[in-house]
Amino acid sequence: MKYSAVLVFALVATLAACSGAPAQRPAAQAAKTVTIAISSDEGTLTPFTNESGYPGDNLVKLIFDTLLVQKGESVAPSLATAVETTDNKVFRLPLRTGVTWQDGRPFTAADVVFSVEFYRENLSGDSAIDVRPIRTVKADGDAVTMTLAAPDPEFPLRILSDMAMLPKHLWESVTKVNEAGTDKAIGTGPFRLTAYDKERGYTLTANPGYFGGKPKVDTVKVNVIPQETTQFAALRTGEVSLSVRNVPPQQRASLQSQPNIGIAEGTEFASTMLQFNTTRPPFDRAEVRRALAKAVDVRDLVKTALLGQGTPGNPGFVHPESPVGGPALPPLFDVEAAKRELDALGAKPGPGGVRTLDGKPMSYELLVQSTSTDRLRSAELIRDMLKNVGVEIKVTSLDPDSLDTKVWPDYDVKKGRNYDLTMWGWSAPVMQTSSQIVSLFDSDPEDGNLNIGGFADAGVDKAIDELKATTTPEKRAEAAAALQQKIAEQLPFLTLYYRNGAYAYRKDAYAGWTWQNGLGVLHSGSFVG
Amino acid sequence: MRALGRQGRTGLALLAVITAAAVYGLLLPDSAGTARIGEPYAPPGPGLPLGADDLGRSLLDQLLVGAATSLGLGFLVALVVTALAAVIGGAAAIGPRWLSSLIMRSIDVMLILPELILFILAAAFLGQSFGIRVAILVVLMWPVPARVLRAGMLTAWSRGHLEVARAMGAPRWWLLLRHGSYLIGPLLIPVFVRAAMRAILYDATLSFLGLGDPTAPSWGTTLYWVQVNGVFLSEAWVWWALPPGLAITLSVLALALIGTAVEERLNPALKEVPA
Repeated sequence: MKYSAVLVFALVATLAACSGAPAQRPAAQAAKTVTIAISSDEGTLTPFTNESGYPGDNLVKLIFDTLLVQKGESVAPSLATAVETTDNKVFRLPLRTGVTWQDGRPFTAADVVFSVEFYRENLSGDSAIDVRPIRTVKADGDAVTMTLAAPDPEFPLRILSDMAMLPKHLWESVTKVNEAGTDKAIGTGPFRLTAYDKERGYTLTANPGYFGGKPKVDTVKVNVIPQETTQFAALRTGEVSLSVRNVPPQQRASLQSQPNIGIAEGTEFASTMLQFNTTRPPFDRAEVRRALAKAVDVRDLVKTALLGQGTPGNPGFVHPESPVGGPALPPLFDVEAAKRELDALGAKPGPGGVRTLDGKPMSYELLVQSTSTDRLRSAELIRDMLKNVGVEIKVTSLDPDSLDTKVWPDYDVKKGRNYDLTMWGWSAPVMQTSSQIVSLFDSDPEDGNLNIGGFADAGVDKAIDELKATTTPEKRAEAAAALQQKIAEQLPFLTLYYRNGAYAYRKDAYAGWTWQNGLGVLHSGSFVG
Repeated sequence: MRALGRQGRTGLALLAVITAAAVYGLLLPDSAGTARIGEPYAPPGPGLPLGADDLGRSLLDQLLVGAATSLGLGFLVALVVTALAAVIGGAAAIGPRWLSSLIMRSIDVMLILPELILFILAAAFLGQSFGIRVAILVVLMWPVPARVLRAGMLTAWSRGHLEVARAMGAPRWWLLLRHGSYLIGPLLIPVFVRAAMRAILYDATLSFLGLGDPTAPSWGTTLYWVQVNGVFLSEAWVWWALPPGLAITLSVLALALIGTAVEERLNPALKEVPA
């Protein structure tokens, strides 16, 4: 009888515990296991075999270290303890001593020299680096000296903080880099790859001897969950501790209202733009592009399509907080000016309120990726905004592959293009340094390999040449600002907005995520220090 | 009308209401459902009987314009499918033996293919414009009705009076026109109704999955944005998700009621025996 009373009490207590609202548990600053949901397999996690830049490269960098790391808008020591240069052409890098590879062998200057030479010979893979600007690399004791072909003040940020160091004793036998197995995934980083299953994902185990200190998490499990909705559902149940998907603005409130779910947010440098095909009339005329751009209210796009979760676009392309910096140019939006300028171009309103320019109605097709909800909504809003000034837009939604075929066939701008207007976006690395930005505008397709609008302007080309000739960070920043000013006048595309990053995590599992602009939360800084 | 029974009359009445809404939707100005007339996510209120979507556009207007798209597509597909099925089924029934077996074997092949999955694949590759969606649905949907109509044709062809007429030397076209059409014609109604029903459902499915045109108002498109905006997690589902869902259900129900009633009328053997 007594026993059954105890049983009944236990049962009632359990039921009471179940029926109560889920308790808010304290945020965890260290954890035994953290589970991260990614969307697809990332290969064997070596610098040559990951499939995507994000999150693949971020995971690789948990295993492999770079000589420097990006910190804020500048660089901080990592495997190299300092950067010594006087002319931005010869860089001497003293190396940290006492560092060992995850298999116990010591890390030396010979590994650095080997890595540079190895990347030079194997220019493939998503995380592989174009080291051609480095003319020579020499080891002297515990330091290495790199000499560039031309001075480049952005070299530390662009290459040294991105080039993963490879262990010479393991990689010198590798001939096919894209087939490198998990046995080659050995770096000096805070985590070791201890298990990999193509279907299920990865297990990363803390490297206790890490030079930056013992990681605060013992095991990082990385699970492949393809569907976004499934990832967020797993987060709600606590099955995963972090989803690498950017939370859509519309779903943010409902996720945030869950107990124990936190959202890490910050600035991201991925851009969204309205791209003109500048090889097709009338978009070959800067006056026309400018007039159309003035009709588009980028603030309204951020407010409506992103629910405020973004930054309105800078007409000079670069996010005001990006390492390239430069002036935050004023927004162009001015409907009356747009109308005046179209009138001045001789575009008179015709039947149905649609203007006629050079004998042709101003009626154009705007392509948009059917899988991107914020771009779809923005395209619809732009259609309405341009209608206000007498320009008719027909929105055509296409799957991303079909759209790429029209806009950027074979990802080679030399192969031409077939569109009027398209919604487009570039990922964060495109605005990491000014040397990358020029590839959007250079009229020479070799240097302008991202110039998908076929834009060509002598003034802009001249500004690019001046930028490339600069040798100091100050001069380069000045040249970059001048280039942005030119771009805001020429408008090969109209930069619409930069989406904020918002990543949902379980506070009760691990709350040590730290935001790094350009990287998000998935980087070694979230686990050490 | 009376001949259709209570079920059929209910179906017809429902369809009439929905068709009237669709016609009204067609008559609305072009900006209906795409003009921003309210605050984003506005609940129902004056001027916005069903509230507004995430861009502040009237959901009632979208429902009405969507009715025109959905019903228009359904009826167009049904019309083409019925015509195609009649020609192919007819050819299989009274054509030469080799043609008949060729058609029947191809129908068998078509029948084992999973329709919805094929439809999704085809739409993903060929595009999402109205014309292409109609064409894909027609290509996928003709085999079943063609089989039904072939069977109907064969039955008709072996009826006594046709045999007699044939023995008297009547040509095929005369047999078909003068005698066959009476027997075959009514069969086309359920075929049409069923095809319309499935077309509406498939097209809504496609739009819901985001494979339709997400910028053109239709019932499926509204449901797609419902899902994108996580509407089911808020109270907005009542005015945002429920109306298009109900509209699809009621249209399909109306067509199903009419289809069943017509079939029972044509073939009294299908009628339930009163208890």
